Amino acid sequence: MRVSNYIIKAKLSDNKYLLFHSYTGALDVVNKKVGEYIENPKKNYIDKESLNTLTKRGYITDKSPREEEKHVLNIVKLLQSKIKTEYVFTIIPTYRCNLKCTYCYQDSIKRDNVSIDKNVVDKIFEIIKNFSYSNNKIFKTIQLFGGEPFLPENYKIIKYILNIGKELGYKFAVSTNGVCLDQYISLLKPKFFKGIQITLDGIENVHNKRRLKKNGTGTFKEIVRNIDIVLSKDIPLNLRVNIDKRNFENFKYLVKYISEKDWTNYPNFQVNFRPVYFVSKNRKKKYGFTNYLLYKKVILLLGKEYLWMNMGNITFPFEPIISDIFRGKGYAGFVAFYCVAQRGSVIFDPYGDLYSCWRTCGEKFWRIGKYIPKLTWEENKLNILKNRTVVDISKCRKCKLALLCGGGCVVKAFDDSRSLYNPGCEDDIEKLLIKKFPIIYNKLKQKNKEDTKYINHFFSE
Amino acid sequence: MKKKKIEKPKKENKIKSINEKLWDDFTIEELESREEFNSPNILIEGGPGGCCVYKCWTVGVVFCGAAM
Repeated sequence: MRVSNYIIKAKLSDNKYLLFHSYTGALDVVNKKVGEYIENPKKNYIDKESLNTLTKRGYITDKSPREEEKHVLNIVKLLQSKIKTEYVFTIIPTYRCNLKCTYCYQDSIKRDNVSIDKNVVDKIFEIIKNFSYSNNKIFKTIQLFGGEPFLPENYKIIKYILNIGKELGYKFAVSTNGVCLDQYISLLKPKFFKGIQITLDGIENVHNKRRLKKNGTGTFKEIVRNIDIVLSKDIPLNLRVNIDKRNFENFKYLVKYISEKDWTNYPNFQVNFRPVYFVSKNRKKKYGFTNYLLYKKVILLLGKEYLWMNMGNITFPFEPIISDIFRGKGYAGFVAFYCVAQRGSVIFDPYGDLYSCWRTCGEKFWRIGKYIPKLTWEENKLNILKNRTVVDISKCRKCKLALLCGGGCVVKAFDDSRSLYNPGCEDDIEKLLIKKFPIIYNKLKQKNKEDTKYINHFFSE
Repeated sequence: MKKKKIEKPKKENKIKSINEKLWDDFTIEELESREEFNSPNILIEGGPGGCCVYKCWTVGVVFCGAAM
């Protein structure tokens, strides 16, 4: 018997430890003695009863490391065979944008004046309808993405998209830079809009250096005005803050600004601080940031009282898995894949191409099909994406996060190593997870006590 | 004389398990035949869902690193 290789252990503040076994799905709170035993069984002793419990829960195992690895792979294969794909649709009305943000990842793609027209929209909804006729599971919210979807000249076509979507029972969500949002307010009804994501990268002088118009002028004032409008309309607003080495030291002023604006008092408001990920190695070294760094800086700069904000997020569904365990939802919801881009995501671009990942739209290498003049799929690419699991990634097979992460982002893996079969996980993700694990646990515990409703924007860290 | 009541030491809860259902040693065939396995609540269908908006509006977790 030996200690399993698949234990995530975190120290709780009250001399206890939190254990999660990442292939049995066991979640336990143990005392110091048991925690120390797990850490070093040769130097510590525990009673027989505890040992039996630890064995039953998977922490102590008679499997060899190789047998444990094999067991994990069996679970992945099972998940892969049983999971039913849920389709998620995104429409990109145009790749054009009215801004030239300093870190835009769409710089290299073709962004001429092409926008979709009514015929193309009809074609898109014909395809969406056929997906549902085929008895597929469909996520009933369509995402609008760009470029900038809410350019003033797009108004008519956006209105047309919304009307058809509504008739078919769809709701919408949009990622917009927020600059011209006021011109779209009449279309944004809370009943049909599940959410709007707007980005603000700092207080005025910081934001305006990063997210500027083509003529070089800033966008802060317009965006703030439009955030106020959206919040007053009861539409869920996700304020995204992109952080890299150029603005992280200033984000505390943005936090102060958000508090002063009283945005946090709106139940439809949430904020997400996200590190900017750079593909180029030079830029990554110079400007890059990670969720782990972000988390550490938050604690250093602001203190723990600001942890209610969504900072330093774990980039795989660890929190939902733990949350489901808390809510008594049976087996841990392990995953075989990292992301919907591998299964289920269908993005319609204005050139008649189909993609599955927002990050790679417009890059032909990642195209999964075409819908103009007729619908055709690039089956080889779909199969590669669909079948990429930790089973094929040797470095992931031994990883204790394998069933939580599913091999990481396929695009990041390719960006980093020019291979799809390398891990695509974020730097320091395990360190971040161990730091955040007790916080997630304590929050859920508190929630259970209060028997409060599950509220999205307070659940995430 | 009143006897002094001796308090028994509280039994320490060494391991407090939060959940019961585990992906334990049963075979894949056994697992497949379990009724709970086919319940929609057990598995996250369609993979975890990677993109920001998708997760934001469903479970409130942001995944994607794409900067918008």
